[in-house]
Amino acid sequence: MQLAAGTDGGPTVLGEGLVAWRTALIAAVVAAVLYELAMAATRKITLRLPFLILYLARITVSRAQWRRLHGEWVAELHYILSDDAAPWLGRLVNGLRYAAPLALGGARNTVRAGVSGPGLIRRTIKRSRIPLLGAWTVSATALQSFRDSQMSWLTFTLAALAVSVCTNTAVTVVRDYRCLRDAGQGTNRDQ
Amino acid sequence: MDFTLTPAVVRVLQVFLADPDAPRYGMQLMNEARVSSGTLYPALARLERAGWITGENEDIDPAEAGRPARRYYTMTRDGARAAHRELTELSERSRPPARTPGWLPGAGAEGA
Repeated sequence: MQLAAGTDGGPTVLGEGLVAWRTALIAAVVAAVLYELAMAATRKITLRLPFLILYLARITVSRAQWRRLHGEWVAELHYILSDDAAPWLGRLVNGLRYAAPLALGGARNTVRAGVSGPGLIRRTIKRSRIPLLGAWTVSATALQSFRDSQMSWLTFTLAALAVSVCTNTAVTVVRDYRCLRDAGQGTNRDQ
Repeated sequence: MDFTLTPAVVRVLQVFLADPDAPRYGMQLMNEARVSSGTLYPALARLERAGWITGENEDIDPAEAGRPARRYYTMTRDGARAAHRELTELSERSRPPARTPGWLPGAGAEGA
């Protein structure tokens, strides 16, 4: 396809006629607008990420403890992400730097450190007794029936792992909650 | 004192002792003490439980400021005295013995 290049001897720029240039200019303006809209949406969405990560900490502590602690952390995260002096990427990195360690066990350690009872209570939070491999095996067996549904092995394995991790986490959370609840009531089955 | 002086707790105490009356916020403490939030907040919980620091919410109007009120921490008088004492004892316990080979004059030349 030949671009209209100076038909009937009209003006050309770099070998292209005015029609081609007009088309290119319109396309460039549209692309620039779409890019800016995408960047604005990306910034808005990504600055929500640290809050989502912080809320992952919710599964590691009891509801009462979360209600007591999360207000302070959310307020600090709001301040970090609304600091206009820092660029968008810097705010995102700082927000992730703040939220991730809390979600990865910091919340649970804070609860452990802050819980007090009669005298000095040493508490061992019992880990789930369901080994991860055993949970995976049970999940894999249960999902074996879906082989006939043309699920690929990769999908099947990932699904089985996800179910086993969720099961393991749920059991751990329930056990930890029971320990903390007993500590709050002044009893400690671990002593 | 019913908690251990870990390196992170020591750094946090040093930040507080630099100016015990100054209010300090979470992110500020993280940057000055060079600790992560997962280490900082358990340390703050222990210090608050021991009565060495107190936490309060800042006095702002969330609607006007456009964000919730943050929590800041200040050191108590007793906490400052206790922290100073504990850090001094830790420093004494950590000092290498005077007869360590590195202190002897000419030890570097002998090893060369």
